[in-house]
Amino acid sequence: MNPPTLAAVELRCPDLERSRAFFVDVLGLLESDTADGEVSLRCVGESAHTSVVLRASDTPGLAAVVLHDRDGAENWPAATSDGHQLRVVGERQQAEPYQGERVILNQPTPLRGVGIEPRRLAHVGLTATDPAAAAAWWQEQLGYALRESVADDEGELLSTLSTTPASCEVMLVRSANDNGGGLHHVAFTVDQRDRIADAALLFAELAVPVEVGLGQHGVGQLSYIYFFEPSGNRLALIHSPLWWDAGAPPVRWPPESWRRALWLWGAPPPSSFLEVHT
Amino acid sequence: MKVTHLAHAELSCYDVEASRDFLCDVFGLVEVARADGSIYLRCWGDWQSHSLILSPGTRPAAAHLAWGVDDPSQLGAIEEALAARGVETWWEKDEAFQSPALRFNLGDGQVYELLSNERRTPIGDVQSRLHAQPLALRGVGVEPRRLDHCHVGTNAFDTTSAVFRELLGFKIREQVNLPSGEPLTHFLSVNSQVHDIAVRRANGLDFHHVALWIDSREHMLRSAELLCHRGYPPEIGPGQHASTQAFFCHVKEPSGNRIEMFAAQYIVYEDWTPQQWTTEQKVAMERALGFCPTDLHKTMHREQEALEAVAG
Repeated sequence: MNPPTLAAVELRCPDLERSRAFFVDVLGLLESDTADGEVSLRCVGESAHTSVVLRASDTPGLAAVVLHDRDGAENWPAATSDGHQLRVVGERQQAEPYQGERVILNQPTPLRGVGIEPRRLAHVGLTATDPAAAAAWWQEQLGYALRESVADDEGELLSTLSTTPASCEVMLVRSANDNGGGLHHVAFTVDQRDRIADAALLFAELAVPVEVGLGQHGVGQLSYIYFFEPSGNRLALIHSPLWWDAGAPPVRWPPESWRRALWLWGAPPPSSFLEVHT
Repeated sequence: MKVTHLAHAELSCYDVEASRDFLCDVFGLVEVARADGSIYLRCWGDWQSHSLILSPGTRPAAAHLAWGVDDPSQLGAIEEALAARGVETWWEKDEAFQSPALRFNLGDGQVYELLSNERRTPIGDVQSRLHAQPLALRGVGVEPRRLDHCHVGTNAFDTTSAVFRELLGFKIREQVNLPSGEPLTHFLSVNSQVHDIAVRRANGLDFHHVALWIDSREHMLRSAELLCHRGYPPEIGPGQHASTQAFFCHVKEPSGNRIEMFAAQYIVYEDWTPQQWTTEQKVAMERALGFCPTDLHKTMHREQEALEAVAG
C-alpha cells in the first residue's frame, strides 16, 4: 500500500473574485478552470491540472484535502480524526499542454513573470485538538511518516508528516478553540529564501495583511512568511532545505526548545498564530 | 578635497580575543596584523589593508572612524577649516599601516580620521587569483564582502552633519524628520552608496553600528541561520529597512558592538534628490514590511521618544 500523497487543497471563499485575483495576480498561480462558483488553480511547476480549488462559500476555511493514490482510490477514510473532509483520487487530471513554445521542455508551463510564482503546493496545515493523536491517525490510517513533533508546557503543539523526502506535506497544529475541521494554513514552496523577501516587499506595497515573517522555523528548517488571502484564509510561502533520508527517525522538540521549533530569529509569531484559524 | 569612502573602523572591545574569534571564525574576516594590543581584520573584498581594528576598551564604541580622501595635500586646509569652526583637531602618528592622519572630534567625543595615505595592497598568502579581488574567499563563516557604512547617534548632530557636508563632500540621500520638523537622521554619502554614515540626533554619543556588506539577501538569510547555530542569534532581523531599501540584520559581537549585515541597497547619482520621511511614515512602512519597529527603534533612544510623541 502506497500512502496517498497531497494533491490539492480546496478552500471556502466568501469573496471568491478577490481571492481568485489575489492567487492569480499577486501570488502568480495559473488559472486552470473556472465554473459555477469554483476556480481551479495550479502552480507553475506543477503538471497536474489542479492543486488549489477556491469555492464560493459564506465562511472561509477548508472544504477538503485532496490526496492522490496512484494505485487506485479505494477504502480510504472520508474524513480525518479531527473532522477534515478527505477526498482520495486514483487519477489526477493533467493540465492542458502549454500551447506556446516551451524553452525548458521539462517545465509544464513557462514562468509568466507575474507575482511571486511559487513552484508547488508544499503542505496543508490542519488544526487538531491533540496533534499527537492526529499524527498517529495519519500514520496508521494513511501511512504517512511522522517527521517532527513539538511540545510546549501545555502539551503537544505541532506535528509534521510526509509521504515523500520533503519534510512536510501535512502540518497538524494544536487549536484551543477548534470545533473540528479547521484550516491553519496552506503553504506553497518558492525557489529560495530570497523569494520570500521579494514577497514581503510586494505585500507591503499592496497592503496584504502579513501575520508574521519573514522568519524561520526550526521545524523543517523552514523559512516563511504567513499572510491572509482576501477571503481570510491563512497562506504561507515557504522554503525548506530539509530532506528526509529513507528510514530517518522522527525528531522530537521537547518543551524547553519549542520556541526554537517555531522561530529561530526575528520577531516571534504573534499570539494569533496559535489562536486564529478558518 | 573629498572623502572617498569609509576606510576602517576601530571598535572598543572589552574582550579583544573573543571579538576576534567571533569576527574571524564566525563572520569570516581575515586577521591581518596585531600591534599594540590591537588586532587588525580585513574583509575579503576590501582594498584597504584593514577594515576593522579591535582595540582594548571598557565599553562598546567606535574608537575612531577613518575615511579615505582623494587629495591628501589638502588635509592642512581641512585642518584650518575645522579649527575655524572651533573643532578640535590633531595628527595621529602611531597607527599601523598608515602615515600620520588628521583626526578631529566634533564635540560629542566621537573621533574621526582622514587618511593621508592608505595602504591598499593585498596581503600575502590570502591573495586572490582573481585580479580584481583583493583577498581569496576562504569558505569560512559569513564572509561579508566589505566594510559598508557606520551609524552614529550624537548630541552634536548639527555640527556633524554640517562638517561632513560642507567640508568633506558628503550629501544628504535620505532624511528622517521629527514631528517638530527638525531632522532626526541624515543618511549621508560621498559616493554612489545610499549612505557611508548615518548621523542621528541623540542625547549623547550613541555609536549604533558598523555595517558590513553582504552580496545577497539569500546569503544573509543563510548567515542568520549560521549565527543561530553558533550561539549568536541576531538581535534584530533579518528584515527590510524602509530607508535605504536595504535588507539588514543586527548582531552583537562578544564585546557588545553592534555589527550590521547590509545588502540590496540602491545606488545614487550626482543629481540625486534627498528623500524625506517623517518618523511616523518610516515606522508605518517598517511595520508593513513585516517586522516589529519597536525592536529596531528601542535601540535608537531618541527615535523612540519621537515615536512616543507621535503616538501621544
